Amino acid sequence: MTRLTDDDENLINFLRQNSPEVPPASPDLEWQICQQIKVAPVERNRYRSPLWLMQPAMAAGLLAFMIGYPSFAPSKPSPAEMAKLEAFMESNWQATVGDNLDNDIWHLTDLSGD
Amino acid sequence: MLIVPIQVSQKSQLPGKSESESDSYLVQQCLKGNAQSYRQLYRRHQQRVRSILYKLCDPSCLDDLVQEVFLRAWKGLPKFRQTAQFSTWIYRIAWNVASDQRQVAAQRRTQLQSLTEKTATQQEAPDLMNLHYQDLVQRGLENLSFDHRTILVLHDLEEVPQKEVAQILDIPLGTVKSRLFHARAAMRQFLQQQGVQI
Repeated sequence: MTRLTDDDENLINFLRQNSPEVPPASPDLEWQICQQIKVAPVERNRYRSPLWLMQPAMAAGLLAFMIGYPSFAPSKPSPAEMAKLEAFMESNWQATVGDNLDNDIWHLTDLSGD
Repeated sequence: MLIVPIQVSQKSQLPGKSESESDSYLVQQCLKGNAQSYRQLYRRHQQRVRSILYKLCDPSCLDDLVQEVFLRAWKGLPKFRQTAQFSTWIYRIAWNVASDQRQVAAQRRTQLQSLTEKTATQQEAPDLMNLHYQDLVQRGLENLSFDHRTILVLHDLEEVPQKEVAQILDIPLGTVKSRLFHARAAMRQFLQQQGVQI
């Protein structure tokens, strides 16, 4: 606590002794306030934590995913496309696993000196 | 005349931790919609709120200002941090209400002030002398800037600790000390000009 000088102490004592008397409240002031708060409810919803947004945001995200998922999934190809794709794969497989043994031998030969 | 001795608990007279805890409990009850708890809070704090407002504002609309403070507090209860003291919080609201009203307060003069001014020349009778000093203190407070007046009222007249004053006004403790020094100096100078030697 701050120590007071004599001057300060005398001043404070003078102010307190001669402080104007507070007039009494009107007899029905308490009743008036009680009536006012009955019609003025406590503002519950104005000051919520930002975390209250989490649940609605998660629900909205899940809903958007469920609705949007089919549009992101690849569409099923038509029979003509399937046939074309099948033919393409067959021709390419033939090229890669054909009976060209020379190539395979060449790849598997250890060329380092004995 | 029969005098009945009564025991007065010191705990019930001095605001302490137990009171602040029960303030906190009452606030919780209010948040559940219990208006009766708010009535208790009102009864507990209205006198000091009233006294602060009286010294900071135009006294002619004191009841309206007290009502405004307690209505603002009721509406803003969810904003109240339970770690703070309810008294500190409501004094801050009182200060805000006083700040809003200070322009009006500066222009108006009460009937009581007019009366004391008229009787100021009759300084012989002791009761009139007291009235004169009260008027001087009131005019001295009005003579101060609003910041200095607030500091002097809260700390020197209402005996709110400096640390709590800093919280109420949301200013550093050093600023409270500095303003207090200047406010006292200005008040002392005013009183000396009015012929009062302290």
